[in-house]
Amino acid sequence: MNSFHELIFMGKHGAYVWSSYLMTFIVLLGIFYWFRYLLKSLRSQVKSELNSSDSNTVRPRARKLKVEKNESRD
Amino acid sequence: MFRALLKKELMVARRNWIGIVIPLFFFVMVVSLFPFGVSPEAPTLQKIAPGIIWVAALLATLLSLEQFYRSDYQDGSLEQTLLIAGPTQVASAKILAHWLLTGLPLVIVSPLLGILMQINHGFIDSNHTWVLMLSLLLGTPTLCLIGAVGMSLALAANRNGMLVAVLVLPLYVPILIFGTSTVTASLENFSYNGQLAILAALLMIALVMSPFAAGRALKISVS
Amino acid sequence: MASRWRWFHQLGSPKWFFEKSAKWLPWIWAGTLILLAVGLYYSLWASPIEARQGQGHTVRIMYIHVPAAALSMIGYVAMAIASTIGLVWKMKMAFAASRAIAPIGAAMTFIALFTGAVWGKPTWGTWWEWDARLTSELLLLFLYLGFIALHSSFAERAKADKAAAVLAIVGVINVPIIYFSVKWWNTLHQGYSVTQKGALAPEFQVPLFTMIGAFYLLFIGLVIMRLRVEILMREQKSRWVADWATEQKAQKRGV
Repeated sequence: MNSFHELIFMGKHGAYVWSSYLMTFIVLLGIFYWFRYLLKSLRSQVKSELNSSDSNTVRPRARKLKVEKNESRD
Repeated sequence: MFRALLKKELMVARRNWIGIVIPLFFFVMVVSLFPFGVSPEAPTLQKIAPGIIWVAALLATLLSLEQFYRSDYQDGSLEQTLLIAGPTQVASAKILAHWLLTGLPLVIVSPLLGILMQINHGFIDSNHTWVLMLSLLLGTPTLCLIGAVGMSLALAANRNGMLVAVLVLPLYVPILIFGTSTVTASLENFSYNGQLAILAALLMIALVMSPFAAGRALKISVS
Repeated sequence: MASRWRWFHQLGSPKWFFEKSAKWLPWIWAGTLILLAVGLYYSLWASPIEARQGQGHTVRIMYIHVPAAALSMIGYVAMAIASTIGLVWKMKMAFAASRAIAPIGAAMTFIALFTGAVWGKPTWGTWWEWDARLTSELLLLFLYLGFIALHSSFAERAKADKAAAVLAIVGVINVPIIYFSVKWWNTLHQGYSVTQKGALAPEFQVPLFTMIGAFYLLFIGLVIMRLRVEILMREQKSRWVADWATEQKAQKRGV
């Protein structure tokens, strides 16, 4: 690799090389943020349910993951 | 014990005989659609015949799985049976009954489809029909065995037959490959013994593994 | 004897894993970033083009295609091993791990397929070739999707775990059978394989092995992240989760 121009265009195969790198990057980063988001939403869910049932009357029977409820992504 | 279980399965199926015949209708009808869709000319049909007959047999096996497992599970009699007999035995009885009532009839009607798809066209005396029947005879038990595992796994999940198809179809690919290539090799006058041997080997592997896995899965589904 | 197996019992404890893995993750991500930086430098800039087969710059796709393909298969095997451990020793963490691996393995399979197709266009002149490896990779993706579909179809988690575990084991027995039959079928129809394996020249080895290392670490890191989510979903009712959620410090290392 000699020049910046060559890095971008890669002979005539720039589109192929860059699109595969870009796709890989998008997929992996997407997974990363998705998992992070899942963890955070679970955390806030546990927290809010703790607050709501603070006066230890009845423990909630079962909690289910409801991601679509709290869409407030930062 | 095994004989009693098998007898019970066959008795249940006799009461629901139309459920046994429908996969056969399906098998014949699907295959007879292709001349309309592709071309009625003999050379073309002959070329695609092995693949189409095999895919149709595969789908017919898959569709017929439901009735051998679902009703049993829903009315609770499966749970009862599993209390008195080992899960592997129960699974084997179901698999054998399924094959006797769907796999074997498919093998028997396949010559008719061979005629429809013109596999003997242009040959004076040929044994392609026999090869087709033999490949199905070795292949359909494997289809039933693998299908039983998928069906037993999907039993407890309240989904329709699509889930079973998704689970099982990738596992059917090797059988499809060797089944069709047996018939194709015969049509092209090549030796087909190797493919038949591999089909038999696949059957052996499935015969060892599947009843155990399916029994295990049945046990999980009623637990 | 007892102390030799302690790590195994500790791994089986969700709480222990959840707390420890929060400390491991930063190191894993740091290692991943370093390896990725070096690997990308070599694979995109400091490595020569392929001249012998006239692939030119497209050889650079190999540096992500091969690691993704390798991990897609290793991921399935790991999933099956975790499933076996879960079924044999009734270890819940092993089931959680197999569920955690599935989506990441599927993503790796998808990446391998996508980059394979993009690589195929300039080299073979077509996006898709029914080549033995690409076809097996496609079937592997179907197996992963089947596992996820089955696991998500149950109302009870215990049943879902066991059923999906049986499927993973049946699948892993079938993977070599599928691979060899597809390979046989491919030679029958084309008489050659488009992805022929040759000895790799040393100048391609440095970026390739660095990238494989980076992908391994990335895979492990993502699996741990998913496993933490899985643990939380399973242990929502336990005391330590409530403690963790209300703990202020945890906000900082939230990942």
